[in-house]
Parts: sequence; C-alpha cells; structure tokens
Amino acid sequence: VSGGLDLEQRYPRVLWLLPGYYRQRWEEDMVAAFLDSSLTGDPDEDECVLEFCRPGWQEVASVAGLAVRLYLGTAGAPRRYFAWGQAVRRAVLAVMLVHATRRITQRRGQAVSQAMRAGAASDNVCVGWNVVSAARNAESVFVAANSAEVTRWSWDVLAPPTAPGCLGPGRARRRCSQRARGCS
Amino acid sequence: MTGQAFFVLTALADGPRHGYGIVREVEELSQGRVKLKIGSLYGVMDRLATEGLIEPDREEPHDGRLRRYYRLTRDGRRALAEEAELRAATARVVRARLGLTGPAAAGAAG
Repeated sequence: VSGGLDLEQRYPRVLWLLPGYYRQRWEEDMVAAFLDSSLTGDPDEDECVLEFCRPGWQEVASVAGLAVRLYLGTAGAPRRYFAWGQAVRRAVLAVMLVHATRRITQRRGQAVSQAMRAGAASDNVCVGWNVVSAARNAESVFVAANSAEVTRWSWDVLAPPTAPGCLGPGRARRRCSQRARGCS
Repeated sequence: MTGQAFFVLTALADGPRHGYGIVREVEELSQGRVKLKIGSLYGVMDRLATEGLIEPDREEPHDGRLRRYYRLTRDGRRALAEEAELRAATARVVRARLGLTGPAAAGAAG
C-alpha cells in the first residue's frame, strides 16, 4: 500500500531535486527537521505517519523553489552553478531584448503608417512610449528570472496550511487518517 | 535582510536551536503569520551560514537521528541588532506619519 517506502525514505527522494553539493551539506538536517515536524511522539500515530504519509505539496513546492534558486547560482554556490545561473539569466535577457526590439519595430511601422494616413506627426510620441514599455517588460522578466524568491514567496502566500498527505487507499488509509492527525 | 532571515536570526537570539525548533519559534514570534516550510528554512539558513551570521553549535541524538543545533555568530548578533534598530526606526516614522504617536493621537483615540 505504501509502496515499500516510509516517510523517512520518501522525503529524501524529494530532496533529489536539490544540487548534490547542497544535499551533502543539508540533507541530514532537512530530513531530521521534516520528521520532527511530521511526527507526534505517539508511537502508534507515528507508525501510521511513517508508513502511509508522504510529504505535502507545500513541502515539495518549497524544496522545488529552493532547487530553482540554487541551480540559478546564488551566493556561496559552486562556480559551475553560478555560471549556469548567469547563462540562464543572460539567455532570458537576450530573448526579451529580441522580443522587445521586434515589437518596437512593428509598433513603429504601424505608428508611421497611421501618422502618414492621418497626416499627423505623432510618430515620435508613440515610439518613445513603446521603448519605455518594452524596457520595463524586459526588466521585469529579468528580475523574475534573477530571483527565485518570487517563486518561494508565491508558494508561501498561496498555499493553504496543510500537513503531509496519506498515500494508501482502503482500510489502512482510513485507519491512518483517523490516527495520524498530521495526515489529512 | 528578508523577513524570514530576520525571524530566523531572532529565533536564535536567546540560544541555539535545531531546525524544527527554529520553525516553531518563528511561528510563535510571528504570532502564526510566518510558517516556514523546511525547504524555505534551509534556503534561509544556507544563506545565513554562507554570510557567517549563524554556525553549527552541537549535535544531539534524538529518536535515532542527529539533531544539529545552530547559534548566532558575533556578526549575526550585530546584524540582527542593526536590522532591529532599522525596523524600529522605520516603524516610528510610519506611526508618526499615521498620527499614531504623541498627545494628538492619544486624544483622537480617546
């Protein structure tokens, strides 16, 4: 029913999302803290929790958010991850600049056509506005790519308060649901 | 300094704590507003350790596992004091602008 793994083995599987250097440093601490937060101290309840529960999606999301930030190379990350993060940030910036340039060119062409049709000299105003708008778009995306805090913040804010969820169907699951208060 | 980092440092201000101890203390300090997930906690702790603001204190066995305790470093204590002062100063300015300090505010409240 539980797939042969208990909670103490399932949570480290979630941690596989993290870079190896980080797991080496923090995995033992994270597993201990996670189990401390999941277990109740009652041997019967804890047996159920360990056997039938799995990490809640909020926990998985927090680890995934951390993984994104680490792979994008934060302070203290090995040179390889920092270089990878820089490459991603520059690629995102380059794509946005190409996109912004294309839109400016399109809008400028439209504005010139309209101005010619209308006989008005509004070209400069439109183009100026578009440059500012495109630059703002590019900057926003660059900042978002630069900061996985946004992801973690979103998960923290949007996620309802829950604990680990139960796995097994049938009687065992109902028994676990009743006894393991952390699993719902 | 982020809000989470501020709370984690504050949780360690009166003595070393292990990971889950920090989670509980932060929840209590924030009156339930900040509930750190384990991934979030260790993201913050990794940054604080890298910056030299916290360090391992000791390890204790618990239910067949090792609990690692962390404590503030001298730099961590100084950074926390500076951040607390900054936040207090900001709060004073905000309260003054809202008219929540001084006799006028007391009169309005009465």
